[in-house]
Amino acid sequence: MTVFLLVLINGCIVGSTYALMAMGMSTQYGVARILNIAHGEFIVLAAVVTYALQQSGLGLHPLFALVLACPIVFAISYILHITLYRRLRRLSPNLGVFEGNAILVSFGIYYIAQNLLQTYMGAAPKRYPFMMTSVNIGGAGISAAGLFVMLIAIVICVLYTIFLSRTRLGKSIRAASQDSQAAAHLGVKINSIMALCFAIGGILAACAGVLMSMREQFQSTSGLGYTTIAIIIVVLGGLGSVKGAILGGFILGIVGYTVSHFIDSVFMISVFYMIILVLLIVRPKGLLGR
Amino acid sequence: MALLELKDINVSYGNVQALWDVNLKIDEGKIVALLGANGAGKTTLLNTITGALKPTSGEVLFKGERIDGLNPNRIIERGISYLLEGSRLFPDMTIQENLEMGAYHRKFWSGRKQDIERMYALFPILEERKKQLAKTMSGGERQMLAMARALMSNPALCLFDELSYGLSPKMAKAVFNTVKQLHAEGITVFLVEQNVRQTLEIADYAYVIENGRIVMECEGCTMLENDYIRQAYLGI
Ligand SMILES: Nc1ncnc2c1ncn2[C@@H]1O[C@H](COP(=O)(O)OP(=O)(O)O)[C@@H](O)[C@H]1O
Ligand SMILES: [Mg+2]
Repeated sequence: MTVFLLVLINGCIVGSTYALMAMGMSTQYGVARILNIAHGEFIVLAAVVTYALQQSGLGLHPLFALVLACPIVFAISYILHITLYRRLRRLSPNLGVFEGNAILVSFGIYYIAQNLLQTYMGAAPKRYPFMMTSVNIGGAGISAAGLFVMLIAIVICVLYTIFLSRTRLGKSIRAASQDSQAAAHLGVKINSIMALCFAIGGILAACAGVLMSMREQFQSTSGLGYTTIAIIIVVLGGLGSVKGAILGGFILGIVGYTVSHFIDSVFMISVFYMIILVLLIVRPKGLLGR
Repeated sequence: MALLELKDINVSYGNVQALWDVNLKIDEGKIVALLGANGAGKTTLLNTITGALKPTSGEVLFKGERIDGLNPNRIIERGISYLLEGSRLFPDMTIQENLEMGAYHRKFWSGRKQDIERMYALFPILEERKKQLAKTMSGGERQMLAMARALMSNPALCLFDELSYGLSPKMAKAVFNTVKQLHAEGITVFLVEQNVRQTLEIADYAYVIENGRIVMECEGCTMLENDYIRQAYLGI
């Protein structure tokens, strides 16, 4: 029973940041149709901003890094979209070609970003102390930092789903991802919405990065691992489905934690890929896909 | 003055010309039809009116002002509403949300609650199912919702692309009856169809398009007696 609780709660802690990462990737794919290989680099960028802020001796809570990291990543993503991806979309003869080209371009951005990060922060793993105590829940010792991270991540997931379902802008994002042409003829400015969604995806990556840094070490090369996990979750949850990304994030968090707790963490990604393989055969559109 | 007027419109996709010197007028308060076979250029014409395509030459006038070259969101703001071929609802949004999207433009957003009530009065079936996802609806219901969504912006002119396509004869009849009802309320309708007989029964005026050219135009009912139309489109 205690082991069960331990695995469940820790799995959800891991899953909560997975959900944020995947929600971001899903938002970028949903309207802008970009499977962003550089997604993980923005997670690392936000983590390193948080780390730098902690090292600065200002004594600020690490959550404060959101105020800095979110606008930075938003701006970079937005500019990337209006300069690079928008042009690429105009030059592509159809959406399929664009999607393929966009992946290649995002690979390029991944290499550049990865290089810059490595130059700036070196190869050594980074970690700062934060809420080093643990909390006893039904006999299981759970990290307080982990619980804090999960709480904030869940709040962000809830706020984001409310934004999508209740606001005018959120509804136009959903409409554009379901039928962009029909949305355009109702007055939705598709080009702006695509850039905005790409940038919102960046913000979610930044949130994930800030939170992740509070409970685990990261290094300049961690990004691709985050991207891989986000891709797996997005496929699991259903391409472009935000609720699927949340569900998939928690499922993968729990599965991943189970594997690393009972077997070894090196098998985690193989197990994830096995899940995806089975899923692609049984239900190719993902858990909540269209 | 006509509500909408197309003057010598030419439209190309790359090197392939799809519309040739199209001239067309839609008078206020009328049902005007555009008939033609698959690939004749009907949808291209609508996309040119609504700003998705720019004509290579010619003018589109709405209420006497040029609107060619404007973006779709400027067109809807001026009072032209476009129901795309195949209803094109947002499948994972509820019926109510689909209606709200019809009032997406800032000019209409604040009045959306009253407009939705107006649509529920016009299409009671939509109110019964307002919380359901659009993808759960049948073909006829979808077209009803698509029409309601197009009416949310209180348009002066509605462009309906192939409303009856793929519907059972009974559903098609219901849809045409709704068009007649809208017309009775003073809405101008441009009805683009392959269903020649039923369209001509309700149209005040009709155009026939073949290979991107308008080949015939006249009052709706006289076309039903025209030999060429009877042979080529009605098979009698
Ligand atoms: N996006 C496009 N690119 C190139 N050619 C197109 C495109 N859309 C339509 N066409 C061509 O233009 C012609 C008219 O098509 P369309 O307007 O869709 O006809 P209709 O709506 O009457 O069936 C057809 O020959 C079609 O192949
Ligand atoms: Mg057509």
